[in-house]
Amino acid sequence: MHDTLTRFPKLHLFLIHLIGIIVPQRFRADWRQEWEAELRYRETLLAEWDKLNWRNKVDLWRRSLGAFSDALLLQPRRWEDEMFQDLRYGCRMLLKNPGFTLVAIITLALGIGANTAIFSLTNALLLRSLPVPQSEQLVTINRGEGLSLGPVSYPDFVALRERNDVLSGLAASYFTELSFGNGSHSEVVRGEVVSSDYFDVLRLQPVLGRSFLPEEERTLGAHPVVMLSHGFWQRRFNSNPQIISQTITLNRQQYTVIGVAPAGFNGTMEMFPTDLWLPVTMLSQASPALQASLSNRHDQLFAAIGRLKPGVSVEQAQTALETINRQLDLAEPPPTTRRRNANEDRSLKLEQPQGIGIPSMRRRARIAASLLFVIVGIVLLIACANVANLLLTRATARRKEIAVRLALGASRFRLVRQMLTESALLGLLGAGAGLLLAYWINRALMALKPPLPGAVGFSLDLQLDAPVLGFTLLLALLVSLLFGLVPALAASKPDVVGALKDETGAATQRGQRLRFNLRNVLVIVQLAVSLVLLIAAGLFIRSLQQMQKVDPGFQTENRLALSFNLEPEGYNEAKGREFARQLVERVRALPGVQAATMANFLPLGFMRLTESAVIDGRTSPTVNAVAQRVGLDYFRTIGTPLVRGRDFTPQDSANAPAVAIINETLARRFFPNEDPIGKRVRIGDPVSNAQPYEIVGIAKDTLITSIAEAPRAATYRPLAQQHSSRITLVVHTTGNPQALFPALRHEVQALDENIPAQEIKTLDEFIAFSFWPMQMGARLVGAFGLLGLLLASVGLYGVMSYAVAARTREIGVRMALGAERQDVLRLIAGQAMRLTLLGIGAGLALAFVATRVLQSFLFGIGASDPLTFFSVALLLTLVALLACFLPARRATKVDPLVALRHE
Amino acid sequence: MGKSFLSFAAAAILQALDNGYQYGFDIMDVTGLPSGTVYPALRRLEDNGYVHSKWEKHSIAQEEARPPRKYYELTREGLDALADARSRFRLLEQTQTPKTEKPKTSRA
Repeated sequence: MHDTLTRFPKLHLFLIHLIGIIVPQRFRADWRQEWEAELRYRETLLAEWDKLNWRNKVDLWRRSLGAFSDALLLQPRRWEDEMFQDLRYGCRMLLKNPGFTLVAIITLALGIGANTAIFSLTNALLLRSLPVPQSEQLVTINRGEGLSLGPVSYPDFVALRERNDVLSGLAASYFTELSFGNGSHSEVVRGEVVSSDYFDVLRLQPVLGRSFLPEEERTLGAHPVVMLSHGFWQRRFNSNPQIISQTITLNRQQYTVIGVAPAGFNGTMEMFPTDLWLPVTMLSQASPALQASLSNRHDQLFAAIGRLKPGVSVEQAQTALETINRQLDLAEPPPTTRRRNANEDRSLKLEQPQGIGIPSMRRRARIAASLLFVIVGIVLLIACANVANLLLTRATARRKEIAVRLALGASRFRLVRQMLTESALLGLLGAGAGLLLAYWINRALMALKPPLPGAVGFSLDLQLDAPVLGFTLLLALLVSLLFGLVPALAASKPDVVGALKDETGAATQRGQRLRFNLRNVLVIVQLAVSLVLLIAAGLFIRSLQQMQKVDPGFQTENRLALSFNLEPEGYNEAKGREFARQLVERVRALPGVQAATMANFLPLGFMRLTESAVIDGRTSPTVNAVAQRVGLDYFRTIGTPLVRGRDFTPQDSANAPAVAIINETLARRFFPNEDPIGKRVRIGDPVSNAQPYEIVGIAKDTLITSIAEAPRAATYRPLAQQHSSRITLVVHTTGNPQALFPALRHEVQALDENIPAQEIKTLDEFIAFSFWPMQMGARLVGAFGLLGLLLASVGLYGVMSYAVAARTREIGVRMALGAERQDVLRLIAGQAMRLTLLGIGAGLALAFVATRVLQSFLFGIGASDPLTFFSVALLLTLVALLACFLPARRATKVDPLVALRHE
Repeated sequence: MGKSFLSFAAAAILQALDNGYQYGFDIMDVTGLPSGTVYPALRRLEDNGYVHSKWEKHSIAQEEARPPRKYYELTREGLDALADARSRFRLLEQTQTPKTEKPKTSRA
């Protein structure tokens, strides 16, 4: 102090020097110099003017104290400086240990990549809004529980559009298949029949030509014009810029191309992309069966999408539209036959379009997404535990460095910050590598799309877009804190003296044991949660096995199927019957064919139809029964036995008395104590004026919509008496059905070269969609479960290696005192097994609780299926044994002489 | 920091520089602002390129047996920003007296 005073005889200069201490180093010299120069200059000047009195001296002190506030305001720059320093130091430390860095980054990349991929899936399924301007203003209208794709009829839509004052626009659309092109080049395309303001409501400008005009919504059938999607234009017309005003053929009719929609827009249901759009006045040309639908207010076909006026909330708009809806229902109540049940919820609900547009699918997707998130979350936790363990190990190696810094006066806060900066660096690098991984996982997920018929079209576009990148960044930082904080806190509190003296003995034992315990806990947690993951995966795999064992009630072996939709091809009923008859005849004549027939759809396929059924002449409950229409020989071809009565015969023709076969379930429900043969049921919608059919046979139950369902009531009627323009050919072959594909294709082309015959499938492929959800579950959960197992065993291996290394001296002493190799092996393996058993015990308890939530996803087994629990626990024990085998063997190779010298 | 966000204090400092007050203490005197406002504002103005700082020649400092002083100059952008600020703060020019009229403490 005395020294300073002689150097600074003036108080104000001393103050500047003192305050300068808190100025960040980068600025300190300049800062001090500027202040000192000013003060001394002022002082000289005052002295020259002979005014260096007490008042002016106090003023100088006051000014130098004022420097304090200036110095304080420089503090934020200190943070910037130190942060930069931390980053630089962190990079150096990571580069210094490339092995550690690489392992940590790969581990984190696995965890973060899995999460990023699942987030981008969730984003696509649930969050992403339509790629149109101001998409946040858009609302879709759903009715009741939102089960119907078409909640409003066209007259209702017009009324809603005209009478509301909450929307700046409302557009309607109806999705339909169309046959595009002529001759052998025809293909099925996906069209949307839309109101004229569709593109205006969405605020989309065509890239070529124009969109629809209001007059194109006025006269029925008068405007054969079409807009193409950008993708369809590129794919089918090679991006021809002269496409406008050209004509194309749809359903055998000429349409003029008026415009091309902007790139990236594929209709209002992104997952089911649209190829082209027609004006609503062309509905009966697009889908002849819907001829009268535009004027019937009870034909609810259309999806509606509107744009909110500025300042109007979704709730306000919903209230306004629901008021109009109720007025419409009061003016013309829907007939009971049009209702699902008497108190069906007919209210309108508005929702902002995000992800999958279909509410019922959204609900399922939400459940699946949350399940997947839990699973990848667990994988990430395991990864974090691994990295935390690595950091703990490294902190031991850096004990000396940290002790030196502490001894030199670094604050603990500063050290923790430094180490967290390193963690954040690791986290970000891991996230970068994770993004690469996520890209690959996304590609794999997109390849796992459901086996839907080609005409439905399915597009799942998983992108690493801004929301996904934001999520990954946030996750990386959060995770860095998660795996970095505990090791940083533990490492910044070492026994300074012991560490400086390079002690490995008793003085440091306490701290080490503490950290080693922390490691043990981490490993136990890892083992426990990966056991839960694996059990979940095992349950899915077992469910899939159970599913494949189920007897569906028909045979799939050596059978193939091919579906047609004859309506867009311009077939009327007579022509359609003739086509079906000739095709079956030709196919039966092919070599290698045992039997062949037609049906309007096949069980467990993608399509199905239900109709109401009642007992004729009695008051019986109305049953919503699956309504199959089948050709001759159907039951023999598909291998469903008839339990009573007879099959349909050629005598059951269009003019003969109407007959039906019912399945066992319907027979039990309608005629519990009677013989159903000869009784009559009325089948059709509305059931009040449906035709009666005489029951001639009873067929064994088959699964219809999914493997997991309870038996459903079903009726079968002859196609000869009940025509269907959607038909599926089913063939029973003597050998491999695939060998018959070319011949079959040839027969179809020979009958009518316009009919697409590309999608021939074996019956196994045909019903694959019903297995798909379970298959997905088993694959995804299985893959992530294995990933978790891999990470956890790496973690166990790391901990055991460390334990062996730390106990080398002890092992040496034991061996010097006469311990045998197997004693050492037992010592190390025993330690590993204790951890493993604790982990597995905890995991089993956890899994017992956690798998309850899986119950609704499982099939044929309980959520605590003992076989799964037992075998997975055994598997994990074996893997854990393997993981600690190498360190244990290394321990037995310890040379006592070397070990005793080991520090 | 765009021109339109220039605070009154920053504008007054630019005005002081334009009036010929080039040193921190002189600016404090003429604007009446405390050091905790003037110095951080000068640093910010310099970061934004409105002001440029230089050290006094060593010879002058040595003569008076003190470290060299730091002085500040307006840049082209600084002049523009000042013109802009003057149109917003009408009384800006009247709050200060240009240095040529009444020398205060400095003898630059």
